[in-house]
Amino acid sequence: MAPKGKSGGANSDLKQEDILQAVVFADSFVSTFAPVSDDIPRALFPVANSALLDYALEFLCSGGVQEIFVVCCHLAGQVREHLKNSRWNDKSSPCNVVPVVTEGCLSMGDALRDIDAKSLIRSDFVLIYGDVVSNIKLQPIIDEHKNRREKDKSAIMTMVFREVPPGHATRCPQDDIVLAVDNETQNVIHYQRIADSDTKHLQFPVEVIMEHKDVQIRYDLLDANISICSPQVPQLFTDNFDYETRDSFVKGILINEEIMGNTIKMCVVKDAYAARVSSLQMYDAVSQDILNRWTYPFVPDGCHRHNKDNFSYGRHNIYLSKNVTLARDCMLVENVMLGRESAVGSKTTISHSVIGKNCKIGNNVVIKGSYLWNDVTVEDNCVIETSLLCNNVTVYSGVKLSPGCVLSSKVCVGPSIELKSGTVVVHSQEDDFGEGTMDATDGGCDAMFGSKGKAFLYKDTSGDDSDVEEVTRQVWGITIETESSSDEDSECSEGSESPPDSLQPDVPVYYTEMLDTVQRSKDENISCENLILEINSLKHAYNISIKELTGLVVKVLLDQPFSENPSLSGAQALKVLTDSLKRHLMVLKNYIKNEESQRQCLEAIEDFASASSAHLQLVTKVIHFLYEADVLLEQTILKWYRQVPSNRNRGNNSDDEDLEDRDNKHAEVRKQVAPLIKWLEEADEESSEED
Amino acid sequence: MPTDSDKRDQDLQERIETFVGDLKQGTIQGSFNVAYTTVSLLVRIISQTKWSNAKELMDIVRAEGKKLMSSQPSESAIGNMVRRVLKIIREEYASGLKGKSEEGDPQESLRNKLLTAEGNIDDFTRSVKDLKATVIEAMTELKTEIETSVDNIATQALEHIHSNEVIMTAGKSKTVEAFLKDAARYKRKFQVIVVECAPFYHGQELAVSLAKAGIETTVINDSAVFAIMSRVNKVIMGTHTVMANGGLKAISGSHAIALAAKHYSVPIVVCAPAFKLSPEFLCSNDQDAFNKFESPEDVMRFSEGKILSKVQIYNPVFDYVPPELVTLYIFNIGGTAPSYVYRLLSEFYHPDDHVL
Repeated sequence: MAPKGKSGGANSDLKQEDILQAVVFADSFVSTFAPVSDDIPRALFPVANSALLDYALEFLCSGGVQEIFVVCCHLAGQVREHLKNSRWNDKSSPCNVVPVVTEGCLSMGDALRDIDAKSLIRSDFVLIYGDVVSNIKLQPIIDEHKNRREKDKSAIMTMVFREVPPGHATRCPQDDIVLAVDNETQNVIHYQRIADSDTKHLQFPVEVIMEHKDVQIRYDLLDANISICSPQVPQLFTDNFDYETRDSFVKGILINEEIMGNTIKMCVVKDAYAARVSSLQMYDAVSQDILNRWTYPFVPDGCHRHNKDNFSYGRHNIYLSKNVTLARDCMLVENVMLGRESAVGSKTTISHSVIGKNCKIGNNVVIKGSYLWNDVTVEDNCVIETSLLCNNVTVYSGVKLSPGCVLSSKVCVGPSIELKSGTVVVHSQEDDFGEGTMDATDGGCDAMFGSKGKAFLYKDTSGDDSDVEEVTRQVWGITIETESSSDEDSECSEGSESPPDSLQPDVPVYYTEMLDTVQRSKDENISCENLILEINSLKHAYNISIKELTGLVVKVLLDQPFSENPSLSGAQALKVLTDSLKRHLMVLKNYIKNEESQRQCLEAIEDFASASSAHLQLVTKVIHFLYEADVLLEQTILKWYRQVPSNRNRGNNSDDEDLEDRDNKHAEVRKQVAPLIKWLEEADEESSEED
Repeated sequence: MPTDSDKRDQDLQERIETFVGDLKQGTIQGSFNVAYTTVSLLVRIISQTKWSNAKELMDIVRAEGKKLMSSQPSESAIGNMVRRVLKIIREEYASGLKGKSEEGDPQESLRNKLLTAEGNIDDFTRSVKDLKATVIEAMTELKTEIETSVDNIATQALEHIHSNEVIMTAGKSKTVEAFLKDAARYKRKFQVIVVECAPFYHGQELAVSLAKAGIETTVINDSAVFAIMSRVNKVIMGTHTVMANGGLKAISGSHAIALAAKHYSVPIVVCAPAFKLSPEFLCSNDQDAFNKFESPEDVMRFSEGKILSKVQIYNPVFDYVPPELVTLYIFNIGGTAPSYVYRLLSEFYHPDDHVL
């Protein structure tokens, strides 16, 4: 499609400068919505009975964008077809919508590189995903961006955020972000997706605090992935092949800020709506927000440029289209939307749900918090809670769908069955041998879907195991979300994950890693300084606190000779051990400095001793050696000796039997060390006498 | 030249679609602009489409009008203007045919109307010379009427605002603003109390503007209306639409003000240009397209958090004020009692056009 020839000749160049462009990714490059997105691209999902992509285009259009490139990848044909048949293709359409098919793109980066190669971008442009629903006024933000660019060429991108505090229903844990902003310049200086980090701990580079006078760290923002970009952005993507997503781009820019000088600005919108349909949970949240009219003027009743259904709006947020048949005694409670030609039977109750076109709902049905797409049939006496029913689904009578069920298109289930919470059902599946697909209509369906059922349980055949796990987790997410959104415990669940819990898994890994390092240092004859360096860097990698570190280092140094040669014992063992300790004396001295670290050292030795009787015999020698080497001080040793065992056990979640065992060990160690202590005490007395 | 006319057709369609789009987006603000653009567009439609007689023309206008109205059902000015244009076509056709106006003198009595009713024309298929030219001329007059309506209302201000009166107004109405300022221009001393009208707070804007014009202005919040009403001499309000029964479709909060005024027997004067006069009735408060519900953002912030999933928030724009609470209408054609609105309707619109 060629750009509209409104201006011809020499003027066109001048005019094109003023055209505001936008790039919309009609593909998210992830499979969060599988299996639903297998036969219908995410951008065309009906949200409140309009295609998701239309919300994004409408939003851009109202922001004064005149040319929109829609990047289609997955099921590009359908997206193109949709655009072709929509009003965007009309002559009267206020902006020019151009589908850009980029087959084989695997990431947003690839797609942007493709756009750069086609050199479609001429000036500053808006970059969004096709699943954005927003009513932000773009014009002032774009103007601000342009003004800033005139003064400062390095401000290459403005990220637009919506203020949404934690605990809000329209906030999805996968999209939680934390970012640090310089208050003076509004530069983004740190951007982090919380879901990416394994722990509940957030780490900020020291520079964030050190190099900026006035820093804001914000957790109350929702990233709708709306960004105003300068034309350099696609070029940067081309230059850096490792920029896959916008996140990696942002990270790359921030890391190279000092070298390249490029900055990212932030813009927080407080009085408008923006969200991305990034998961089923968000699909639910955004749909409800639309029904609650937060997205005004993009609401179902009329104010839609592309709405041909003409919904009428009634009390309690009930939206009814034309030719809807309602039985006299059916109940539409609140937040309900019924599409064209749909029928609802008697004594049926519907609340917080969106019903598509041509749906037939029988008598005595209860539908709560569910989304029925087009041509869905629900027979009598069904109960559907928080579920997604795609196009052409049939639910026979007496079926109960528990929260979190997803029935992808053409599935038939029932009669009289109950689906577990979070069940994902598909119409066809690849058979076990991977030879072609099995169609449910051919028979051979799972019996659990009822006598008339035409369905299979969904198995993710495309990816590896970890993928499957992720998909199920996210499908589950919908149930968890809808339940917890009404509870108040969403924050508690965050709080319950206290720091020690999240740290613990790392300790054993760290221990073995360090053991290897020490072993290697011996084999390769690495100097103590380098060993310290290595230990320190490992400490950072595994998130080990300095407290734990001392004990671990001592334990590793003691264990190392035995791990090398497990049969070591007696005098030979003592010799090897003292040799090893002598060699690593510098390491020990580096970590064991104050009383606290000495105590930890002694505890580590005790731990080591309790491993076997052979070790037990060595304890006295080891402590003596360390005393001689001035690593351990007399007072600390004495203090440790007199310690009550229960004190020492804090932090160890051992059961009673274990505790008893430990007490025994504790006593044994004390017994073993007794002569040394006696000698120490005597030496002490002597010295005091001399004084 | 088929290509040329095609191009013109296309251009016209484009214009219509843009207008429809703007209406849906709500980019056209205020009934005045809506009414004016509607008439301008209808002039274009009449002059650019092909038609051979008045019936065809009326069908075209009706069809396009329906399309425009459905794009923003709560904006009654569109429908009013389409009906006015249809009436103009009828009149011009009749006068062109017989050399006399179809309905004659608007002041003629009911008896006369009944007698002449048989003479009404049902057949609009005959061709009339210069119909297009006369219709467009009449529409240009209509446009001028719309343009001057606010001024016409404002010039009546001195008759209604007396010295040292305390006047209450609500929200921001361009007409009322001009009305009050006009009175102030003639050095009349009066005090204005402006109800701010949450959650849109247009009242605050009006207060600023009035204060700049040298009028003694006080802003009060919506809940203080009843307390203040006892000292008010007159309530002067604007409205979005005047319904067929003489009721009002005005900014939300108006009904409460009207009831308070009734309680203290304070007269309510409503300033409205004639294009706001609608032949529609209100049958129920849930009536389709009567009200407009905007984003709840103004009522409660979206960032408010968890509470939002537990509450229903509504943000209606309009209120219905029954005709018995209104004392007087000031149209651009003069003052009218609510009970007389039906008469104006028959003057402006043809009964056949009430339902398009």
